[in-house]
Amino acid sequence: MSSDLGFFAMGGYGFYIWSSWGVAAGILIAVTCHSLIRSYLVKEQLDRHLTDKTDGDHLD
Amino acid sequence: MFDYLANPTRFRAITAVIFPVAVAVTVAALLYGLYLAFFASPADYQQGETVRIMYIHVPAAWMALLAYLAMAVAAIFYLVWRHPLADIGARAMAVPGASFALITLLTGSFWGRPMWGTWWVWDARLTSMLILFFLYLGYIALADGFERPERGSKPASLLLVVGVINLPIIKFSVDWWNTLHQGSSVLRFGGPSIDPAMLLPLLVMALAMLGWFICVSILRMNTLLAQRRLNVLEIREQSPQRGKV
Repeated sequence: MSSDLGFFAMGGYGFYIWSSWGVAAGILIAVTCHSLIRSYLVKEQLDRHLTDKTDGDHLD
Repeated sequence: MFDYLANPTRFRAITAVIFPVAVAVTVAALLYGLYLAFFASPADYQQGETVRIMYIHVPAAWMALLAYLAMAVAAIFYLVWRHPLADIGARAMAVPGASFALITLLTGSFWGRPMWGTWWVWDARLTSMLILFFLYLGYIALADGFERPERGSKPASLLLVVGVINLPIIKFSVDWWNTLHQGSSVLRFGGPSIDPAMLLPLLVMALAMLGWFICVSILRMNTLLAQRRLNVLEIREQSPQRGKV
């Protein structure tokens, strides 16, 4: 237990070390999620557009 | 060679192979890098445990410079050969590159506070890195600041090429001026001066970040290609006569 606390305390610099890694992880995760969501939305929009067009052509 | 790769259909086929490999390399390097950074590497004899910030700060700084250089090369390809895929490549790399610059600045502050006694100083290395971050933001604002995206491509590409002058300034700022920031200890003449026990986690984390950068850039490039296709289809629908010509 005390060794676990020692690991997280990082010799008294825990706040700076964990904040650095936390901020970096937050930014990387946010950019990854943004890229994935945008990719999904644009591709869905394109698929819907192409499907509608095909349906329309079919009806013509 | 460039014409061969610059075909969007071929690009999608090539990246469909590269993407899963890059994801696997990123995950493996990240897990191994985290193990090395937190468990296998020693504390520094002067800086103590704060040296563990280096394993995120330094690779992020390398990647911020590398991403900008890659964007500038893509901008030159766009300006000279006018190939839209080069422009799309630069646009796709902008946000991941800006993220690396922001991570470098923030983690540098978290490292500077306990070691230098201050969050920020206006010295050459920190200021030139801040300018790089602003160059990224300027590029993103300029590239996306027009109703028709292609209108922003030329001025944004010119900004990228002009901004390359900042890269050697960042790299050699610690040699040219007196700064609080320490000198180079990895990419220097005469080889690395850093201990191998610290160099390995640094390189493994750099590989993880490079892999992440490749994955996200490919994802964003494919999204931009799909977006442009959608825009073309919408324009053709709005003006059917022009679309038939």
